[in-house]
Amino acid sequence: MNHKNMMFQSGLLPAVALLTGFLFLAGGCKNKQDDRLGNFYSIEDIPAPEGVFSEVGGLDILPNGNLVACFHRGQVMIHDVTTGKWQLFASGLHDPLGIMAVTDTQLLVMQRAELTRLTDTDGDGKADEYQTVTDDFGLSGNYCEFGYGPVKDKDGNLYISLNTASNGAGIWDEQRGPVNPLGRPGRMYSAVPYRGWVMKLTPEGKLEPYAMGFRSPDGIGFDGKGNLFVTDNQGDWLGTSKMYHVEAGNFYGQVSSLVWKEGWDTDPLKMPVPVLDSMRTREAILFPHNIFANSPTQMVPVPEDSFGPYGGQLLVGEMNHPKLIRVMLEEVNGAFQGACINFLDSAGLSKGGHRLAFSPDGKSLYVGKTAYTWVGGRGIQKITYNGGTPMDILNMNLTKDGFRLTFTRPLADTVGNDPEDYSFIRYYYEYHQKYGSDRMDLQPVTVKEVDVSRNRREVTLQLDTMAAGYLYELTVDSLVSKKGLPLENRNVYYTLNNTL
Amino acid sequence: MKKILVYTLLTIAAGGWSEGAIAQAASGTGALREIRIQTPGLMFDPVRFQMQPGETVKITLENIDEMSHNLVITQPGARETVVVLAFLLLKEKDQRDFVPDTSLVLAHIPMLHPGEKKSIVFQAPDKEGVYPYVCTFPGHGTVMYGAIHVTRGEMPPIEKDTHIPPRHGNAEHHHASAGLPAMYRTFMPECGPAGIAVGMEGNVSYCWDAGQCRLRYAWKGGFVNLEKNWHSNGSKKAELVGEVFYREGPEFPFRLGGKENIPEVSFQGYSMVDGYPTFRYQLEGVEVAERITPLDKVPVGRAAQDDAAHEGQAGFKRTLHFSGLKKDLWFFSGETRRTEVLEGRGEWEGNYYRIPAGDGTATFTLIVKDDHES
Repeated sequence: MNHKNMMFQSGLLPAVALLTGFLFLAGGCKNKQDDRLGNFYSIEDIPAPEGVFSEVGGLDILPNGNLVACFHRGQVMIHDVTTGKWQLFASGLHDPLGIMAVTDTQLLVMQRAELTRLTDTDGDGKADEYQTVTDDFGLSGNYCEFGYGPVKDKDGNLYISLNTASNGAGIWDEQRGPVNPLGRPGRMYSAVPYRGWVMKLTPEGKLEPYAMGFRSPDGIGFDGKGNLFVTDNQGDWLGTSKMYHVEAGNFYGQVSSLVWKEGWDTDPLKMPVPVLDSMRTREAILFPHNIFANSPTQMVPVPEDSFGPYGGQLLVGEMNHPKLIRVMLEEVNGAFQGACINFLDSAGLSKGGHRLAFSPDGKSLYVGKTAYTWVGGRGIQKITYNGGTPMDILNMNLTKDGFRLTFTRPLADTVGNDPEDYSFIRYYYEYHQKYGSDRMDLQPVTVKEVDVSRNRREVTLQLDTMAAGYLYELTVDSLVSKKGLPLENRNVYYTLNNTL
Repeated sequence: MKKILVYTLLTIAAGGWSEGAIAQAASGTGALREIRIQTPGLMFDPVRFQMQPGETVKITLENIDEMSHNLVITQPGARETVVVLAFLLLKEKDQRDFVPDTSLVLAHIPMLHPGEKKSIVFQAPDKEGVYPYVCTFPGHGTVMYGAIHVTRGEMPPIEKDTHIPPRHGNAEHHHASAGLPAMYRTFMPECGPAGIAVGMEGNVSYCWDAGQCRLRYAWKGGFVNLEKNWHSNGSKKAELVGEVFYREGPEFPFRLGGKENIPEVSFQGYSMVDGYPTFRYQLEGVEVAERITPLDKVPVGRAAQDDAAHEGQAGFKRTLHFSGLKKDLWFFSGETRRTEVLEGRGEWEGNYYRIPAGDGTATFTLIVKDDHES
C-alpha cells in the first residue's frame, strides 16, 4: 500500500499533499521533487517553432544531424541543432503522424491519405516535390483512420500501420476504396481496405498487406536486431495496451481487420470468441492499463553504450504519463515476451510522449509530444545522458520456477535477501469484444526462495506457481545499492505467455 | 446545507428511460429540461450551462470519445481537490468509478465506456454559485471540466469565464485566409476523404480531390476555417469561407477512347511552383499535370481581355497537360456556359470537348468564371 493511499484512508489530506498531488496530475513537474535519475539524465525543453501548434506527429534525425519534426496541423520543420533555429520545410499535410529522413533534402511522411515523399529539388530549403509513394489503402472519411510509420527493414522494405475507424463517427458517403459491410459493425471497425493492418511497401513500390488485428497501432518500429514491433491501445478486443512482435501473416486480435484477409467472408463479430482467441498471436508485452500506462506510442532501441546501462532495450513513449516506458524482452520458446518498467517517471518529462529519436551520438533522446484532444502534451524535450549508473532493475528473465532480476549495481549486503523484499501478484486481461478488461483472477504469488548472486547484482526468485497466460507484477522493497543509491523503480510487469 | 436531491438513473444508450424513471423525474415539475453533454475528445461539450437556484434538470452524459469518462459535480471551488481525491483511488481495490466519498461531491455520472450514455436527475442547490463538473478519471481532471452557473442572473461572457478550460491552440491563427496562396490537405465538405483545399490570391479557392483526381468545386470570398477540425480529434470538416460559385458534376470529367469510358485514376502527387500546386495523376497510363491559377494571372489572350471587361469577376484558369495519349480524350462539362477553352487542339461536341490523340501530348487550358457579378 502506498503512502498516498494511507493518507486517503486516514481521511487526513494535508494541503501540501494535495498540492503535490495536483502538480503531479498537471504533469508539469517543473519544480521537481526527487530527481534521482536526474543525476544521470538531464531534461531540457526544445523551444517550439514560433506560431506553430507544436503537437508532434513525427520526429527523425537528418543525415546532417539536424532534427526534423512534423506537426499536427501539417507543417514539417527542420531544427538546426547548432543554431537552435527552426525552418519550414513543408506544409499543408493532413495529420502527419510519422516521418523518416531519406537525405538532408528528402523525407518520407505518413499522412492520412498517403505516404508522401517530400523533396527539396532546388536547394532553397523547402520541399517543392510532394510525391505520392503509396495511397493504395482505403479512407472512409472516419476521423480515426490515422496512418503511422514508415519504418524500414534491412532489405529496404517500408512498413506503415493503419488505424481502424471509430464508431464515434460513421463513414462518409464518398470513400476511397471499396466498402466491405462485414467490416462495418463494431466499436472500432475496418470498413475500407486494410484498416487495422500493418502494410509492407516493397522497394519496387508495391504495397502488400503484412499482418492484421491492430486497433490503434500508433507505435511501429524495429529493435536493434531487425525485429518489427507495434504498440496498440486498450479498447475493444484489447483488455489493456500491448506491444506485439509483428511477423508476416499473423493476426493480433482486433477482429475487424480480418475482413480484408484474402477469401474472408464472415462477420468476425459473429464468430465464437474462443475461435478468434485461438487464431491470434499473443502480445510480447502487456502494459497494465491505468496502473502503468494508458496510451503507449513509438518505440526505439537504446544505443549500446551511449545512453546508460540499458543498451539494446526498447524505450516506448506514453501519452498519459510524465514518463517513458522501458521494455526488456527475451525469447522464450521461440516467441518474444518480457517485462516493462518506468523510465524517468515524474522526473521532469511532460506528458504526451509520442515520437522518439536518438541524436547521432546516441547520447540524447528527443521526445515529441502530442495530445490530439486527449491526454498528452506539446513540444519537444531532449533527454541527455550525463554518465554514471543509476540503481535500477536492468533485466527480468524467466527461470524454470520464477524470475531472475539483474540490477545495474550490486545490492547492499543487508537488503534484498528475503522473500518479503519481493511481492508478486498475477492477473490476466480478458480477450473479448468489450472495451478494456478488469484485471482477472488477481491473486498474490508467494516468493519461496531468494538467491542473491555473489556479486550481488543478480537475484533469483523462486515462486510458488508459474502460470502461463498471466501478467506477473512485481513490487520490490525500497532497495539500495552498495553505495547507497536508491532503486529507481520498484514496479515491474512481466508478461508470461510461455513458461520454461 | 440543503440536501441535494439526486436520483442516479439509467443506463446505456439503447436502453432509454424506464417508465418509473420518467414518472419520478417528471413528478411535480412537469417535463424536465435536459442538458445533454458530450465528450468530443478530452473535453465536455457544452463546457458550461446555467441553472436557476433549486431547479431540477436531467443531465445526460454521452461518451463519444475513445476513452472512458465520468462526470462529477462538485461544490464551488472544490474541483481540484476532488480531482486529487479521485487520483488517490487509483490503487484502491474498489476505485469507485473515481468518485471520492466526500461531501464535496454533489452528484455524479459514473465512468462510461466509449459509446455509452447515462442520465441523472440533478437539482441545483438553492445557493447561487459556480458548481464545477469534471471528469475525475486520473489525468483528465486538469483539462476536462465545465461549470454550472447556478444564478438568477446571467452567465459571464464565455471568453471571460474563468471556470472553464482555456481554449487550446489560440497561439496560431486558424483562419487560413491570412497569407495566400495557401494549401491544406484536410477533410473537405462535398469531397472524398483525400481532399485538398487551395486558397489563391484574389480570394478564389478550390477543392481538389486526390482520391478521385479531380477538381470538385471553387468558391470566392475567402479560404477555409480549420478551427473545428483542429480542435476536434479530426472529425470535423473544414468550413468554407465565402460562397461556392463553381461545382463540377458527379461524374469524372475525362473519358478516354470513347465518351463512355471513364478511366482508372492514380494520384501521383504535386509540385509546388510559385506557391501553387501542379497536380500529377495518371488516367490509364496517360500522364496528366493539372494546374489551377487565379484568373488575373492569365497572361495574354482573349480571356485576359475578357478579364479586363469583367473586372472583379471571380474565376480561375485551369491548365492540363497530357502525355502518353494513345486514344482520343474527351472532357465532359456540364458548365459549358461558364467554361471557356483558352488553349486546346480539340472541338466541342455538345458538352464534350474532344482532344484527338495526335502525337500523344496535348495542352488544354480552360477559363472558368463566376456568372454572377461580385
